[in-house]
Formats: sequence, structure tokens, C-alpha cells
Amino acid sequence: MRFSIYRYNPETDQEPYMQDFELPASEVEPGMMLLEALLRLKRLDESLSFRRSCQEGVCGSDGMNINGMNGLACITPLSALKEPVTLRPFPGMPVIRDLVVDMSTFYRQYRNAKPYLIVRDVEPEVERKQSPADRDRLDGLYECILCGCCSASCPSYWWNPDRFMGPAALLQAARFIMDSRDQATEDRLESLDDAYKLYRCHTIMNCVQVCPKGLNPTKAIGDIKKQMLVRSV
Amino acid sequence: MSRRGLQGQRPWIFQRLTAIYLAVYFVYFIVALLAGAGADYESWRAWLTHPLMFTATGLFFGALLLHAWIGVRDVILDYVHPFALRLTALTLVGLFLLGCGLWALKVLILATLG
Repeated sequence: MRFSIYRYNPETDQEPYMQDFELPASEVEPGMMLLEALLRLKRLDESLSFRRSCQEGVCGSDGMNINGMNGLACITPLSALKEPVTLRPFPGMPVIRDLVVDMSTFYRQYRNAKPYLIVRDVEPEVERKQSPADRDRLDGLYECILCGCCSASCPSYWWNPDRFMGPAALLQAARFIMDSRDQATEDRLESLDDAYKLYRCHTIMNCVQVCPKGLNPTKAIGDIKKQMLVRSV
Repeated sequence: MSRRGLQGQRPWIFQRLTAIYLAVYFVYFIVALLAGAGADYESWRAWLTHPLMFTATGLFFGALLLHAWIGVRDVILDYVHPFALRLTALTLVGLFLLGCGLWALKVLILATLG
């Protein structure tokens, strides 16, 4: 099986280049995922760098651009890929080495969403209760694993990564705006009323197309806008 | 709501409201033309200077310019990053649209004067 992989080592390379790899057919097993192929290629060339951890689509470490679409290598079946399989780092993010990108801007935007409950009441003696119906509103929001596939596929985020929060962070913002237990809804909505943070989203929907967990950040962003409208009218 | 920096929600709302108004006006305008309104100069002028039509047309140009401003502003915010360049681009677009607005106003007022 043929691969074409983006290589860049800042210590030795003047600029990035694409390197061809060949994985012998004997190494390709039925049902094998792309990550396993990468691990086997790494045996051939130990300098090939990429992030991975859980290998089952939960940790979100091995996000990369696979044949032009962002996705997780560990849950992408090799059989679904056209050859040569072209692997690049996430578009729009600074490359540290090969397929490893610097995600600090992405994490900063995540922090900007204040991804935690803000409660002003006195701590209850037992747990903070929530009705099943209120809990259901968090479905499709809490499952995000922060792999970055969505934000790295969003043109608005490519152009303004430092000011537009991007689909992943906005999904988290929505997750806490929708949470019945949170008491900072007003502040959260107010801080998003800005030409950049939220309103650079032009419903391009690349985020929805690539999300490996099948989430819908565009809908979450629309729900934030709706909440804002309800509060301001 | 926040008053720091460029606004987000208000332009977003106005973009949608003006879009609805533009769509309604366009449909009415085209249907009226097809129905024969303004077939000659005199009937055209009588139609456009009728107080209702005059107000609707004035609002149309207002909505059109506001809609254009928000749309172009969005494109500039997306793509033009250096501060001086962005400010220049926004100013030029603003002046151009203002000029168009004044021109439309002049045409409308001259039409009422005959």
C-alpha cells in the first residue's frame, strides 16, 4: 500500500516535503486502521513523527489531514482510502515536526470558552440536580474529545485563529450555555457578542463534515445565536 | 450587551432583517413591473412618487446599503488583517456606500420635484 506523507524536521530541513512510503501487502491486514499502518511505517523509518495514544477514537491525539479530509487515523479504515494515501498535518496550524502540530492557540480558545460550571449559589450539601430533560440538552455537546479536526478544517478559523474561537471551543461554549446548572449564562453570551469570537462563523459546515464523533458544531453555534437573540429581544 | 470592539450580534440581526425586506421589495417591484406599472415616464413617476412607494423605495436603498455594508465588512474582517489596511478598506467601502446613498436620495428627491 502506497503512502505519501508530509515530512518536516525543523532541525535539518529547510522546508517541508512529501515522502513516499510503501507498506508491503503482507503487512496490511483486513480491517486495519490507518494508525496501525503508520505504526508499521514507523518501524521502517523511526524518524516519522505523529501523536497517538488510546488507538480507539477517544483521546483525540492522532488527528491529521487524510487524503484532504481531517480525521482520526485510529478510526479510519485503510480499506476506505484511495492510494497513495496522502497524510498531512492539520491545515492552518504551525507544524512542530512531520504530522505533529502546535495546538496551543486551539487550547487557548478552549480556555476562552470557560469550559466549567460557574455557580454563584452556596455549594449544595449533596449533588447539583438536573432534570432528565435538562440533561438531554447536553447531548451532542459534551461528547467532544478536542481532537481539533473541526477547527483545523474551518476556513474562518484558518484566517482568524487568534480571534475567532473556532467550532470546537464554541461547541464547548454552547455546552455550558445550555447547562441548566450554570449561572453565568448572561456573562457567557455577552462575552461572545463580538464581531470575531462567534460571528466569524459563516455556516460553512466543514466542522460537521469532519467531526469523528459525529457532532454538529454548526448547530451549537446556531443555538448560541438563538439564545442571544432570545435574551436581547 | 458588550460595547467593546466591533459588534457581532447587531450586524448579524440587521443583515437578516434587511435581507427579508430586500426580498419582499424585489418581488413586489418585479411583479409590479410585469403588471405594467410605469409603462411610460408619467405613470412611472406617479408610481414612484406615491408616498407609500416613495417611502418603501427610500427604505429599500437604506436596507440595501446597510446589507452591503455588513456583508463587505464581514469579508474585510475575514481576510484583511493588517490594522492600517483594514481601516482603509473599511473607510473606503463606507464612503463609497455613503456616496451611493446620497445619490439615491438625490434621485428620489428630484423625482418628487418633477
